[in-house]
Amino acid sequence: MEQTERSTRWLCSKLMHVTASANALGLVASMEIRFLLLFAPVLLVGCSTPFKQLHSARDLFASGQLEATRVALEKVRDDHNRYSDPAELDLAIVDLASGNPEDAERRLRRMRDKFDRQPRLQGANEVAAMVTDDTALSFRPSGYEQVLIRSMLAVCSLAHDQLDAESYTLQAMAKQSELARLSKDRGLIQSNEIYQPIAFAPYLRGVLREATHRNYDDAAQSYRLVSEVEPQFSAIGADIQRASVGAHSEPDHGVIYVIACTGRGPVLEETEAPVTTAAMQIASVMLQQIEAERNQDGEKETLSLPNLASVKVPTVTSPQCHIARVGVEVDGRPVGVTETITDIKQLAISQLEAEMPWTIARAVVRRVSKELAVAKAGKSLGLDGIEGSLFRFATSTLWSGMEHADTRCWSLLPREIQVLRFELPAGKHSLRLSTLGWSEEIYRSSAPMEVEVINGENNYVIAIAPDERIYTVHSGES
Amino acid sequence: MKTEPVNRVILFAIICVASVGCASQYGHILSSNESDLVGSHTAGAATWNPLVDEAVAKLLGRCPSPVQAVNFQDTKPLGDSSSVGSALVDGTATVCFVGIENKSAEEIGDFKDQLYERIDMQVNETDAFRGISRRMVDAALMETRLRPDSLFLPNNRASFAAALGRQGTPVDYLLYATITSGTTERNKTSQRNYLLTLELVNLSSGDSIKESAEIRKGYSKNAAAKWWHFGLMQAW
Repeated sequence: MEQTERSTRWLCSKLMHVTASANALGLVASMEIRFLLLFAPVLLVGCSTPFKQLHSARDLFASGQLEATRVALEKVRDDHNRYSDPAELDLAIVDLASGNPEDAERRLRRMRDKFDRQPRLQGANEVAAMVTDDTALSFRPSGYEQVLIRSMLAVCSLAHDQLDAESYTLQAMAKQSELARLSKDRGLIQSNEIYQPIAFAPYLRGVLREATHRNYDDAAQSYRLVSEVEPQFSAIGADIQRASVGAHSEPDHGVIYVIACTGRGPVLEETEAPVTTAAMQIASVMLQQIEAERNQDGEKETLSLPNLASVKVPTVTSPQCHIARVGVEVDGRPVGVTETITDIKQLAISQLEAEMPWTIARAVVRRVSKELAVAKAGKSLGLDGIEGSLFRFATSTLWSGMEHADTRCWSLLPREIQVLRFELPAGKHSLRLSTLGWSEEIYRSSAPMEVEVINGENNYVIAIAPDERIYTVHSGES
Repeated sequence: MKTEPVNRVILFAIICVASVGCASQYGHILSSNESDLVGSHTAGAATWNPLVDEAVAKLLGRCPSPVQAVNFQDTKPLGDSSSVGSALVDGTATVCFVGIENKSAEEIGDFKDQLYERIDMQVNETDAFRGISRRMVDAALMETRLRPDSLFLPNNRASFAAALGRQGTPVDYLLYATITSGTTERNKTSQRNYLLTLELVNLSSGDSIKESAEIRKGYSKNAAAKWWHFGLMQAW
């Protein structure tokens, strides 16, 4: 974040310098352009505000100040239209951590429907993105985020009435299949259509199907899928064995699932990336298409690829966090620690890496369109020769300097989703969860919670541990 | 030819309207005479519903009538004999539909529970059989911790019947449904045969009646491939 602030300050000073130079040379003839150039730094500073607010909201959440987090996120949602959707997703996590899974479920359901209704092409926003930057597009969650919206809906449902949990798991699986199909059918992987299977979705499905005591075949199939996606998740071997030849639990026992959202999740930050050959090839194809359309319209000017060294792109960063796992004690005795089933940070990195050539190519094409527009403006102002070149250089540098990488994401997702399954005799038990460091040292423990284990049934305890502090909510609570 | 600015505006407006149109979703109720949608990638309603109807009809056609059900009184049932007698008082046999096992190559998702209900309902509609509530079956499975596929073993069957008997639900037959599939691939076109098998097991003797129904379905990447592999007259 400091880096972003430094970049902003550097850009502001650079812009002021360019503006002053342009004025001194008498190049800026029209009042509108002069006005735009003078206020560009102010616009830039304004653009950094939601980043700062979101950053502070994440810190507040990690430090356990839920109400302050809510206020900060609601402010972002209300003040910045383009950031309202990711802020809403973050608010759902705050709801869940505050022990309001119903509110979280309602919010996520609304967002799921909104994203599903989103058109593939965003019409006017696409045009706006070409003259500004990718933040002009409506926020569209990545493939893994779309699956996780449905998985988190299932988690919210498990934490209270469990009525729709199975439907949500089916939706998560269906979304995964849809993404896989899209990816396969197109042959060419494009932005937001990258298929990354997520083990958590089929795992939840398996857990729920096993709990019926009847659909062991479905459970075994789901667990096998988990094993393929996340082979290092060691507990899945026992799950497959149990679903294939065993039973849900021992007689007079019930099962407790601890679903832990651990660590501070990946966030996107702005950085400069070199323009790669792959990106230039994509940009070249895009420009050829644009040129063909322009030729049809009678435009004779040839479009050429600009000589760009780097462009602004998003990069994945993961804030420092001491938490590795969550330990569970029952009636004063430790029963185990949670194990990672889905590494969200890795998903975000893979997604971004796959999208990167397209992101850079869009930036290159954007630069071409901006330079073309500036050249036309210079011509209409009657500027040519050295004056025209200076005008084009100054204006296109300014315009491009105002670009921002699209760093919007569901930032309150955890770094990892972890689970622990254990059986207990039917009856009341006292549970305590603790955040554990990388050497299994205990940081903090939750208050003991009383859980009633019912013979042959599942109980779900949801733990959210963004850092040392741990929030818990369990199915018997609400 | 140079496009006029007005034309460009109109074109842009059309694109915007089309984009907005793409964002909407519409639903409508299918009337009873309208055919089910044929799934493009998986089985779907047009496959499962006729499979269930045909398999259940075949099975019920082979089953003993209510009068013949008296035969079962002669054979010593497992569990509480008096309760089995009570099942035959009104001339009907009680059937416990244990569940559907999916052994096909496809995940049938939300169809599974619907198929269960559809089969259960059709079996219950006949005079020959009386179905046992699904909740009772679930409770017995939970109590005994037996897997549906383990009920083929005589001892497990006896424990399960005893658990149902304790709940006041005697049982004469166990009904199993199994879905299997067979896939044939030819380049980018494939054919998948879906088979639904219903197996009715007499709890006391272990004898079984088995019936099945099959639907074959072709999957193609495009219309030309479909015509090439399956013929021009194939309906969509």
